[in-house]
Amino acid sequence: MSSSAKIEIPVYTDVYPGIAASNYDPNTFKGKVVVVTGAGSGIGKETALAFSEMGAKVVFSDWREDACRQAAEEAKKFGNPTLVHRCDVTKLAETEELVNATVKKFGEVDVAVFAAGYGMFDKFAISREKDWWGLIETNLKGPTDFTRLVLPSMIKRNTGKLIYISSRVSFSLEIPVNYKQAGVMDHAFSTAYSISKAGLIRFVGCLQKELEDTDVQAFAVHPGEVGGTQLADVKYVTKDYVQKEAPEVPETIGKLLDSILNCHTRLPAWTSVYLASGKVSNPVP
Amino acid sequence: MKGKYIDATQDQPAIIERIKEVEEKEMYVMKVLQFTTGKEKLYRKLP
Repeated sequence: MSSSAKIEIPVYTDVYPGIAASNYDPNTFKGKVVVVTGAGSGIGKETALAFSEMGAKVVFSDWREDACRQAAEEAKKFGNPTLVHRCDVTKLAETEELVNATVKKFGEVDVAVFAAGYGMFDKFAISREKDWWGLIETNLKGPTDFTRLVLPSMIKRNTGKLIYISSRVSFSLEIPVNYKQAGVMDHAFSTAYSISKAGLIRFVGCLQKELEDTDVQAFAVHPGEVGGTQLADVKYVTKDYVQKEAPEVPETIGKLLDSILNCHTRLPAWTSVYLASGKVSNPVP
Repeated sequence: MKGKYIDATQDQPAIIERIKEVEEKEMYVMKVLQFTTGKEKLYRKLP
Protein backbone atom coordinates (compact mmCIF):
# COMPACT_ATOMS: atom_id res chain seq x y z
CA MET A 1 0.00 0.00 0.00
CA SER A 2 1.28 3.44 -0.86
CA SER A 3 2.19 5.56 2.14
CA SER A 4 0.32 8.41 0.50
CA ALA A 5 -2.92 6.43 0.26
CA LYS A 6 -5.79 8.01 2.16
CA ILE A 7 -7.15 5.84 4.91
CA GLU A 8 -10.37 6.77 6.62
CA ILE A 9 -9.69 6.97 10.34
CA PRO A 10 -12.94 7.10 12.32
CA VAL A 11 -13.32 9.92 14.82
CA TYR A 12 -14.96 9.36 18.17
CA THR A 13 -16.24 11.37 21.10
CA ASP A 14 -16.75 8.47 23.50
CA VAL A 15 -15.25 5.05 24.16
CA TYR A 16 -15.41 2.83 21.05
CA PRO A 17 -15.13 -0.92 20.50
CA GLY A 18 -11.42 -0.89 19.61
CA ILE A 19 -10.35 0.34 23.04
CA ALA A 20 -13.20 -0.87 25.26
CA ALA A 21 -12.76 -3.23 28.23
CA SER A 22 -13.67 -6.30 26.18
CA ASN A 23 -10.39 -6.02 24.25
CA TYR A 24 -8.12 -6.98 27.10
CA ASP A 25 -7.16 -10.24 28.67
CA PRO A 26 -8.39 -10.14 32.27
CA ASN A 27 -4.81 -10.62 33.46
CA THR A 28 -3.35 -7.75 31.44
CA PHE A 29 -3.42 -5.34 34.36
CA LYS A 30 -3.68 -7.78 37.25
CA GLY A 31 -1.14 -6.70 39.84
CA LYS A 32 0.06 -3.74 37.81
CA VAL A 33 0.67 -0.56 39.76
CA VAL A 34 -1.01 2.44 38.17
CA VAL A 35 -0.76 6.00 39.48
CA VAL A 36 -3.23 8.60 38.23
CA THR A 37 -2.80 12.25 39.14
CA GLY A 38 -5.83 14.49 39.05
CA ALA A 39 -7.98 11.48 39.95
CA GLY A 40 -10.49 13.54 41.89
CA SER A 41 -12.52 14.48 38.85
CA GLY A 42 -12.76 14.58 35.07
CA ILE A 43 -10.32 12.67 32.91
CA GLY A 44 -8.19 11.60 35.87
CA LYS A 45 -11.09 10.11 37.79
CA GLU A 46 -12.44 8.25 34.76
CA THR A 47 -8.96 6.93 33.97
CA ALA A 48 -8.35 5.71 37.52
CA LEU A 49 -11.71 3.95 37.50
CA ALA A 50 -10.98 2.34 34.14
CA PHE A 51 -7.67 0.88 35.34
CA SER A 52 -9.32 -0.28 38.54
CA GLU A 53 -12.01 -2.02 36.50
CA MET A 54 -9.24 -3.78 34.58
CA GLY A 55 -7.75 -5.23 37.76
CA ALA A 56 -4.85 -2.87 38.41
CA LYS A 57 -3.72 -1.61 41.80
CA VAL A 58 -4.60 2.04 41.37
CA VAL A 59 -3.31 5.04 43.27
CA PHE A 60 -5.87 7.84 43.21
CA SER A 61 -4.01 11.10 43.65
CA ASP A 62 -5.27 14.66 43.66
CA TRP A 63 -4.67 17.84 45.62
CA ARG A 64 -8.36 17.70 46.57
CA GLU A 65 -8.30 14.77 48.95
CA ASP A 66 -12.06 14.53 49.50
CA ALA A 67 -12.80 14.35 45.80
CA CYS A 68 -10.05 11.80 45.41
CA ARG A 69 -11.39 9.66 48.24
CA GLN A 70 -14.86 9.82 46.74
CA ALA A 71 -13.53 8.64 43.38
CA ALA A 72 -11.74 5.73 45.04
CA GLU A 73 -14.98 4.82 46.81
CA GLU A 74 -16.57 4.38 43.39
CA ALA A 75 -13.80 1.96 42.47
CA LYS A 76 -14.65 -0.36 45.36
CA LYS A 77 -17.23 -2.12 43.20
CA PHE A 78 -14.38 -3.54 41.13
CA GLY A 79 -12.85 -5.24 44.17
CA ASN A 80 -9.28 -4.29 43.37
CA PRO A 81 -6.77 -2.57 45.66
CA THR A 82 -6.71 1.22 45.72
CA LEU A 83 -4.71 3.85 47.53
CA VAL A 84 -5.72 7.45 48.03
CA HIS A 85 -2.86 9.90 48.34
CA ARG A 86 -3.18 13.66 48.40
CA CYS A 87 -0.59 15.42 46.26
CA ASP A 88 -0.13 18.91 44.93
CA VAL A 89 1.98 18.17 41.86
CA THR A 90 3.55 21.61 41.87
CA LYS A 91 5.41 20.68 45.05
CA LEU A 92 8.28 18.29 44.49
CA ALA A 93 8.25 17.09 48.10
CA GLU A 94 4.63 16.02 47.77
CA THR A 95 5.32 14.24 44.49
CA GLU A 96 8.18 12.40 46.19
CA GLU A 97 5.81 11.40 48.98
CA LEU A 98 3.32 10.13 46.41
CA VAL A 99 5.92 7.92 44.76
CA ASN A 100 7.25 6.67 48.10
CA ALA A 101 3.76 5.85 49.38
CA THR A 102 2.97 3.99 46.16
CA VAL A 103 6.13 1.91 46.25
CA LYS A 104 5.65 1.12 49.92
CA LYS A 105 2.03 0.02 49.48
CA PHE A 106 2.02 -1.61 46.03
CA GLY A 107 5.58 -1.74 44.67
CA GLU A 108 7.24 0.02 41.75
CA VAL A 109 5.11 2.06 39.36
CA ASP A 110 4.20 0.31 36.10
CA VAL A 111 1.91 2.93 34.61
CA ALA A 112 1.51 6.62 35.34
CA VAL A 113 -1.20 8.78 33.87
CA PHE A 114 -0.67 12.51 34.35
CA ALA A 115 -4.11 14.03 34.29
CA ALA A 116 -3.62 16.72 36.93
CA GLY A 117 -3.96 20.01 35.13
CA TYR A 118 -6.28 22.77 34.15
CA GLY A 119 -6.92 25.42 31.55
CA MET A 120 -6.74 29.15 32.02
CA PHE A 121 -7.53 31.78 29.45
CA ASP A 122 -6.35 35.31 29.91
CA LYS A 123 -4.71 38.19 28.13
CA PHE A 124 -0.97 38.13 28.57
CA ALA A 125 -0.70 41.91 28.97
CA ILE A 126 -2.81 41.75 32.13
CA SER A 127 -1.81 38.30 33.31
CA ARG A 128 -0.40 37.80 36.75
CA GLU A 129 2.88 36.01 37.30
CA LYS A 130 1.47 33.69 39.98
CA ASP A 131 -1.43 32.58 37.80
CA TRP A 132 0.67 32.18 34.69
CA TRP A 133 3.48 30.13 36.19
CA GLY A 134 1.06 28.31 38.49
CA LEU A 135 -0.63 26.75 35.51
CA ILE A 136 2.66 25.79 33.89
CA GLU A 137 3.90 24.27 37.13
CA THR A 138 0.76 22.16 37.43
CA ASN A 139 0.54 21.09 33.81
CA LEU A 140 4.24 20.69 33.01
CA LYS A 141 6.44 20.66 36.11
CA GLY A 142 4.22 18.17 37.93
CA PRO A 143 4.37 15.40 35.32
CA THR A 144 8.07 15.86 34.60
CA ASP A 145 8.98 15.83 38.30
CA PHE A 146 7.09 12.57 38.77
CA THR A 147 8.72 11.06 35.70
CA ARG A 148 12.20 11.81 36.99
CA LEU A 149 11.37 9.90 40.17
CA VAL A 150 10.03 6.71 38.56
CA LEU A 151 12.05 6.50 35.36
CA PRO A 152 15.22 4.91 36.79
CA SER A 153 13.19 1.97 38.07
CA MET A 154 11.30 1.64 34.79
CA ILE A 155 14.53 1.64 32.80
CA LYS A 156 16.08 -0.89 35.17
CA ARG A 157 13.05 -3.18 34.82
CA ASN A 158 12.78 -2.37 31.11
CA THR A 159 9.07 -1.75 31.38
CA GLY A 160 6.78 1.18 31.99
CA LYS A 161 4.11 3.34 30.40
CA LEU A 162 4.01 7.11 30.90
CA ILE A 163 0.87 8.79 29.64
CA TYR A 164 0.65 12.58 29.65
CA ILE A 165 -2.71 14.23 29.10
CA SER A 166 -1.79 16.97 26.69
CA SER A 167 -3.92 18.89 24.23
CA ARG A 168 -4.44 19.57 20.61
CA VAL A 169 -3.91 23.17 21.70
CA SER A 170 -6.48 24.06 19.12
CA PHE A 171 -10.07 25.10 19.18
CA SER A 172 -10.76 24.39 15.56
CA LEU A 173 -11.58 20.87 14.54
CA GLU A 174 -11.46 21.97 10.94
CA ILE A 175 -7.71 22.11 11.08
CA PRO A 176 -6.20 18.68 10.44
CA VAL A 177 -3.84 17.85 13.25
CA ASN A 178 -1.12 15.29 13.40
CA TYR A 179 1.77 14.80 15.75
CA LYS A 180 3.93 17.26 13.82
CA GLN A 181 1.36 20.04 14.16
CA ALA A 182 0.27 19.35 17.69
CA GLY A 183 1.32 21.91 20.18
CA VAL A 184 2.44 24.47 17.66
CA MET A 185 -0.83 26.23 16.86
CA ASP A 186 -1.18 29.82 17.95
CA HIS A 187 -4.23 30.93 19.87
CA ALA A 188 -4.99 34.18 21.58
CA PHE A 189 -5.59 34.17 25.33
CA SER A 190 -3.91 30.86 26.02
CA THR A 191 -0.18 31.53 26.28
CA ALA A 192 0.39 29.61 29.52
CA TYR A 193 -1.90 26.73 28.64
CA SER A 194 -0.45 26.32 25.15
CA ILE A 195 3.09 26.41 26.46
CA SER A 196 2.31 23.80 29.09
CA LYS A 197 0.65 21.38 26.68
CA ALA A 198 3.10 21.95 23.84
CA GLY A 199 5.84 21.44 26.41
CA LEU A 200 4.43 18.06 27.32
CA ILE A 201 4.35 16.97 23.70
CA ARG A 202 7.95 18.06 23.15
CA PHE A 203 8.96 16.47 26.44
CA VAL A 204 7.52 13.13 25.36
CA GLY A 205 9.22 13.31 21.97
CA CYS A 206 12.62 14.11 23.45
CA LEU A 207 12.25 11.69 26.35
CA GLN A 208 11.34 8.86 24.03
CA LYS A 209 14.56 9.46 22.13
CA GLU A 210 16.41 8.78 25.37
CA LEU A 211 14.40 5.61 25.82
CA GLU A 212 15.01 4.21 22.36
CA ASP A 213 16.82 1.14 23.63
CA THR A 214 14.23 0.30 26.26
CA ASP A 215 10.64 -0.90 26.33
CA VAL A 216 9.56 2.12 28.35
CA GLN A 217 7.01 4.12 26.40
CA ALA A 218 5.76 7.67 26.76
CA PHE A 219 2.66 9.12 25.14
CA ALA A 220 1.29 12.65 24.95
CA VAL A 221 -2.45 12.31 24.54
CA HIS A 222 -4.88 14.83 23.16
CA PRO A 223 -7.95 13.74 25.11
CA GLY A 224 -10.56 15.29 22.87
CA GLU A 225 -12.38 18.44 23.82
CA VAL A 226 -13.75 17.21 27.09
CA GLY A 227 -16.66 19.12 28.59
CA GLY A 228 -16.45 20.17 32.17
CA THR A 229 -12.70 20.60 32.11
CA GLN A 230 -11.61 22.81 34.92
CA LEU A 231 -11.20 26.27 33.52
CA ALA A 232 -9.25 28.64 35.64
CA ASP A 233 -11.36 28.20 38.71
CA VAL A 234 -9.58 25.55 40.67
CA LYS A 235 -6.41 26.79 42.28
CA TYR A 236 -5.42 30.09 40.80
CA VAL A 237 -8.70 31.89 40.47
CA THR A 238 -8.52 34.31 37.59
CA LYS A 239 -11.97 34.16 36.05
CA ASP A 240 -13.38 37.18 37.86
CA TYR A 241 -10.17 39.13 37.35
CA VAL A 242 -10.07 38.41 33.62
CA GLN A 243 -13.80 39.13 33.31
CA LYS A 244 -13.23 42.55 34.79
CA GLU A 245 -9.96 43.48 33.07
CA ALA A 246 -10.48 41.89 29.66
CA PRO A 247 -14.11 40.91 29.06
CA GLU A 248 -13.33 40.01 25.45
CA VAL A 249 -11.44 36.96 26.70
CA PRO A 250 -14.32 35.00 28.28
CA GLU A 251 -16.57 36.14 25.45
CA THR A 252 -14.22 34.80 22.77
CA ILE A 253 -13.34 31.64 24.63
CA GLY A 254 -16.97 30.98 25.53
CA LYS A 255 -18.00 31.05 21.88
CA LEU A 256 -15.16 28.74 20.94
CA LEU A 257 -15.90 26.26 23.69
CA ASP A 258 -19.57 26.21 22.74
CA SER A 259 -18.70 25.37 19.17
CA ILE A 260 -16.27 22.52 19.70
CA LEU A 261 -16.78 18.84 19.93
CA ASN A 262 -17.72 17.69 23.38
CA CYS A 263 -15.99 14.45 24.21
CA HIS A 264 -16.72 12.20 27.17
CA THR A 265 -13.99 11.60 29.73
CA ARG A 266 -14.31 7.87 28.95
CA LEU A 267 -12.56 8.51 25.63
CA PRO A 268 -9.14 9.54 27.02
CA ALA A 269 -9.57 7.15 29.95
CA TRP A 270 -9.92 4.05 27.81
CA THR A 271 -7.40 5.35 25.30
CA SER A 272 -4.94 5.40 28.20
CA VAL A 273 -5.84 1.82 29.07
CA TYR A 274 -5.28 0.88 25.44
CA LEU A 275 -1.88 2.59 25.34
CA ALA A 276 -0.84 0.93 28.59
CA SER A 277 -2.04 -2.51 27.54
CA GLY A 278 1.03 -3.37 25.50
CA LYS A 279 -0.93 -3.42 22.26
CA VAL A 280 1.02 -0.39 21.12
CA SER A 281 4.35 -2.13 20.83
CA ASN A 282 7.18 -1.30 18.54
CA PRO A 283 6.60 -3.37 15.41
CA VAL A 284 10.05 -2.63 14.04
CA PRO A 285 12.79 -4.65 15.72
CA MET B 1 6.12 2.49 17.17
CA LYS B 2 7.62 4.16 20.16
CA GLY B 3 5.92 6.80 22.23
CA LYS B 4 4.32 9.67 20.40
CA TYR B 5 1.50 12.17 20.25
CA ILE B 6 -1.85 10.45 20.35
CA ASP B 7 -5.18 11.99 19.37
CA ALA B 8 -7.74 10.10 21.42
CA THR B 9 -10.59 11.15 19.16
CA GLN B 10 -9.15 9.08 16.34
CA ASP B 11 -9.38 5.31 16.15
CA GLN B 12 -6.13 4.22 17.75
CA PRO B 13 -6.07 0.56 16.66
CA ALA B 14 -6.72 1.70 13.07
CA ILE B 15 -3.99 4.32 13.26
CA ILE B 16 -1.49 1.94 14.74
CA GLU B 17 -2.12 -0.51 11.91
CA ARG B 18 -1.57 2.38 9.51
CA ILE B 19 1.67 3.37 11.22
CA LYS B 20 2.88 -0.21 11.10
CA GLU B 21 2.29 -0.27 7.37
CA VAL B 22 4.17 2.98 6.84
CA GLU B 23 7.03 2.01 9.14
CA GLU B 24 7.40 -1.34 7.49
CA LYS B 25 7.57 0.35 4.12
CA GLU B 26 10.15 2.83 5.42
CA MET B 27 12.19 0.00 6.86
CA TYR B 28 12.14 -1.68 3.48
CA VAL B 29 13.52 1.49 1.90
CA MET B 30 16.14 1.79 4.59
CA LYS B 31 17.22 -1.80 4.11
CA VAL B 32 17.74 -1.12 0.42
CA LEU B 33 19.89 1.84 1.37
CA GLN B 34 21.84 -0.34 3.72
CA PHE B 35 22.34 -2.94 1.04
CA THR B 36 23.47 -0.49 -1.60
CA THR B 37 25.62 1.73 0.58
CA GLY B 38 26.70 -0.66 3.26
CA LYS B 39 26.27 2.14 5.78
CA GLU B 40 24.68 0.40 8.66
CA LYS B 41 24.95 3.42 10.94
CA LEU B 42 23.20 5.58 8.39
CA TYR B 43 20.43 3.05 8.22
CA ARG B 44 19.94 3.06 11.96
CA LYS B 45 19.86 6.82 12.25
CA LEU B 46 17.46 7.54 9.41
CA PRO B 47 13.93 8.37 10.56
